[in-house]
Amino acid sequence: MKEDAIIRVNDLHFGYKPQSPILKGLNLEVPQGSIYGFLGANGAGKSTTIRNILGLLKPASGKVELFGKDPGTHRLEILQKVGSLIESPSLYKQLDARDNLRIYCQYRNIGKKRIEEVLEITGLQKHKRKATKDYSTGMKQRLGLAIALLSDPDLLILDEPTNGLDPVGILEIRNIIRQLHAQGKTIFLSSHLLSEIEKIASRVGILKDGNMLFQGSIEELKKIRNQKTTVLLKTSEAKKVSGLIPQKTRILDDQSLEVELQDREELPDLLQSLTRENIRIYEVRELGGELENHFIQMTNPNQTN
Amino acid sequence: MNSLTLFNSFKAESIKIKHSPISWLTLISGALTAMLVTVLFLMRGIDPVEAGINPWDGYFSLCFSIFSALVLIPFVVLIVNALVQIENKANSWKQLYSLPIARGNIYFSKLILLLLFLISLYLIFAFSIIPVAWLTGIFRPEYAFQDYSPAFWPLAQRLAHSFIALLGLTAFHYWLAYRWKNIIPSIGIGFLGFVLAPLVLEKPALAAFIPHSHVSWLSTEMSKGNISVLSQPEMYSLLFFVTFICLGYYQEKHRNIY
Repeated sequence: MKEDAIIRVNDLHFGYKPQSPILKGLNLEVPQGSIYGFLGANGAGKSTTIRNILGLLKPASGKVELFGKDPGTHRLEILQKVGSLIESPSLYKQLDARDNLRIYCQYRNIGKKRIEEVLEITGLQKHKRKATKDYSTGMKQRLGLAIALLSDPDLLILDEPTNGLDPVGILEIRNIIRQLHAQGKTIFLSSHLLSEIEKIASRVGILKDGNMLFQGSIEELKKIRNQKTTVLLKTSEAKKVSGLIPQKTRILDDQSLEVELQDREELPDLLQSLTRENIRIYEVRELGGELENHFIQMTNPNQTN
Repeated sequence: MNSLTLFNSFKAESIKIKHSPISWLTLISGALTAMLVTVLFLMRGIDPVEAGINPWDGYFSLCFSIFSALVLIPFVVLIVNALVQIENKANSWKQLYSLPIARGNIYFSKLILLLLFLISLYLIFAFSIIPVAWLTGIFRPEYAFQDYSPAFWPLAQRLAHSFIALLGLTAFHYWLAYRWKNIIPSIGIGFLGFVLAPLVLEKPALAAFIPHSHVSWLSTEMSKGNISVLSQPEMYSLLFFVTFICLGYYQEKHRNIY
């Protein structure tokens, strides 16, 4: 294992009830200075993993390390260097942004000067006197991020920070994360949207049913994706094509079918063989955009789009 | 947990109650007894205190009986829940327990704030009943409030005894408020205790185990003149206080935050 891993999780097991485990031997490693995209469908165990990392839940077994130390014995020292936004932001709705931040400044023993700085970073300066109950979802998320940034942490743990945001809000949060990363912070970012992670993360972990399906760089994930893909064929006789070719197929209607290729390189040969059989091909389309289809295949193999 | 972080946590708790109804609740509850007593004095045909003798002792007993029976239990149930519910409403336990402070800081700073509100309640009660008596003395001279001076030291002693007798109930509801995110069970138990308290007053063996009855039990003991350094209801109250505060702290320290 690398020495510079900021978060290291080994064989983590957790369940709210012993008979229904949520995390089943999870292994995870977040390198220093990276933006780690933690992907998984809703209910895969992302938030549970984050709560275990932060010590909010006690694992049944396994080991969690942050900054190379055990949170069980070095909890306060570790949490000094961590800022977090877990699911929806925790805001005292009758108070304005300043008062909300003052509360966390008191807990962390931070001077009030920092409040103005984080309001500036998150673009909330203009709205600092407004009660947070009147904030939009995007403003609440930004304030949640501001709370996480108060201590200028080395590690930011953000659980679905773009949840419920419109495209403009997503873009704003993404830009803030990029700026923070440029300042040298390590960012652990969970999401169920691969398209979001793909745009920002340098490393990815894909979680399914409490197990890590994939962990590596975005480039490594793209390589895997190149090896296996699904194409949509629009042809004169879908049924006949399905009987002719060795690949796994799914007939959609009389003239269209999906073909699962183990390697993209199979595609030219497949098209040639169909032409030889006098089958007309009207359309060939790779399904899904970017990594999205591959992510869906990984996390839910019974479904293709 | 150290004193600096506990102090900082206390300051954070104080910010959280800004714009909340907690201060108003304390003010109104503290002054409620004085308002009720005023109504009693205004009603013709009722003599809340005996005329012609020093009225102050009887007046204070009357005020304490009303305060103990009608104000204290609902106030404790409401304020404890209001203070703890702040976190549930803000969905903030996950955020608080991810901070580099001991969980005990949050638990005890909230408790200190709660106790300060209780003390404020007693002070508002005391400072509101005395002017009412003086004003009554002007408008109803037959009660002779102006012919005698109030005995402040016994009043202070009564306040202190009552405060101690209330600690058990406070700790019990503090523990309950942490157990349930939903306010209904805690309010329901408080209401049940409020109804049961007067019914068990004559049965000390039962009253001992119902913290809601301790203040009224103390009031009864005081009216009989059975007051020592620590009365029986106060001792049971302290026992409840220590037990439920320690139990609550232990459970909070080990609680999983889902």
